[in-house]
Amino acid sequence: MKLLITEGSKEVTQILKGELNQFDVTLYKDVSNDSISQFDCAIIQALSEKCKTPQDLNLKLQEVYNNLSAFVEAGIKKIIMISSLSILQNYKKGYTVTERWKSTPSTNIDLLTIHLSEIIFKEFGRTFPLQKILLRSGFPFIKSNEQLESFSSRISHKAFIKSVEQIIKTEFNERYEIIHVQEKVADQQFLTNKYNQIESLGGIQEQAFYEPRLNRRLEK
Amino acid sequence: MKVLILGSNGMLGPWVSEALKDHHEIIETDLKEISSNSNFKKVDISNTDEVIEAAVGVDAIINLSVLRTDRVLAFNVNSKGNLNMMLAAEKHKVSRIINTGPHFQSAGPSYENFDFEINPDIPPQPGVNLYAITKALGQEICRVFTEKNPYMYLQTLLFYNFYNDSLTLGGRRNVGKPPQNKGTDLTPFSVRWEDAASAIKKALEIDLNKLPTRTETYFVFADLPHNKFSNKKAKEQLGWEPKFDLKELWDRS
Repeated sequence: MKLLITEGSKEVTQILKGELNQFDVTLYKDVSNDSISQFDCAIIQALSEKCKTPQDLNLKLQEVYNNLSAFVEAGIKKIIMISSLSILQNYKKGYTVTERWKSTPSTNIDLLTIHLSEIIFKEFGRTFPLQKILLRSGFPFIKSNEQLESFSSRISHKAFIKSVEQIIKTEFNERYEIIHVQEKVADQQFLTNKYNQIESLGGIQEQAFYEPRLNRRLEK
Repeated sequence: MKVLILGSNGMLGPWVSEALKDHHEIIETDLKEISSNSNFKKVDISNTDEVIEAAVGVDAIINLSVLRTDRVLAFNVNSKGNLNMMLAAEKHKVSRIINTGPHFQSAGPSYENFDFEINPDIPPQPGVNLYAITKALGQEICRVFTEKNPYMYLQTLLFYNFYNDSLTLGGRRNVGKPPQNKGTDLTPFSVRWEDAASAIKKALEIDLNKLPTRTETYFVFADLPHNKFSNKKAKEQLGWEPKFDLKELWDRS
């Protein structure tokens, strides 16, 4: 499977590029000048390496819009956006937050950019009949499970890559899915039940849509 | 009230300035000065420092800036411009923010193609049209900043087609040109320029304590019989009444 990855957070880019070994991965900084129609799946990031100023936010939003437009025009059938559970972190610690919960963006430029990037992705999801999966990963990323125990929403490189691989391989029944992933911890705030049952989300896309039985009607 | 108008020299700006100038101290800002400006300051809304500097000491900010087609400029003006406005409002503790945009930044194709009696409190679904989505992102920025700052009140007025006094679509440059053919219908989101400006004046002058929430959105258009959209909220909350019904365009009797 040919996989296109666009740059964003340096850390996430390195993890994806270095560890998605079972796929034919190509990393792009800018997709606008190349033919990309040969790719089966594209991964885009809501995360950025640096997003501190209004202009950083502006450029990131343009990048997301332009890349998504290019993917759609190239006919890529599956697009995954890597985002972060950090945009749900303003809920009280005792709440159990799932994919159904509304994000809680702040005026922090970094988090606001992630939130707005997700909105652009959602609108592309609403508009075009492709598979779109918004993967919100835990934070921060850690190299092994033993590190940074104090971060209750952490995710290891290994768990993150496993979830991305799983999402690439799954043929989703719905055209738009939001999936949360993080390490299993005690009193976990961000639940990952949906990811844990990812097999149940698979199917043939057309099955999700009503189709009139024209032939049967004509037979009568 | 001392009022900063961003994008005052676009198509709607001169009508708004005309409606406000005898009642408020207005600062008109845009990239280029025009002959009708009374207190003009050159401000590029995509320049954070210029917007922050222009907002010193103002009581309210009205954003009329818009850029529709160029990809870079649309993001610069419609999205980053709103961020700059809210950073300026936050820096100078400006409580009254009036933002404007097209109705489809909220009621995009997924609503408009299927539904009726669409009201301004629907969850925004702008789709991917450049103009709509960049304005919707700007609106979301305004909402997030308003939620964070308890002294801020955000009123958003949404418009679409504007008619002049010769019932021609478009701005002053079309005044005197032949009107649209009468009895041929019009888009169900149409308004006269004067009515649009008077809605903004109402939003500027309303007692903020009378607003049900600190973030309110209004659809502003003439009383049209289509029932596609609803302008009821603007009438009930702002006390706005359109003076022009554009009846000649949709009524043959």
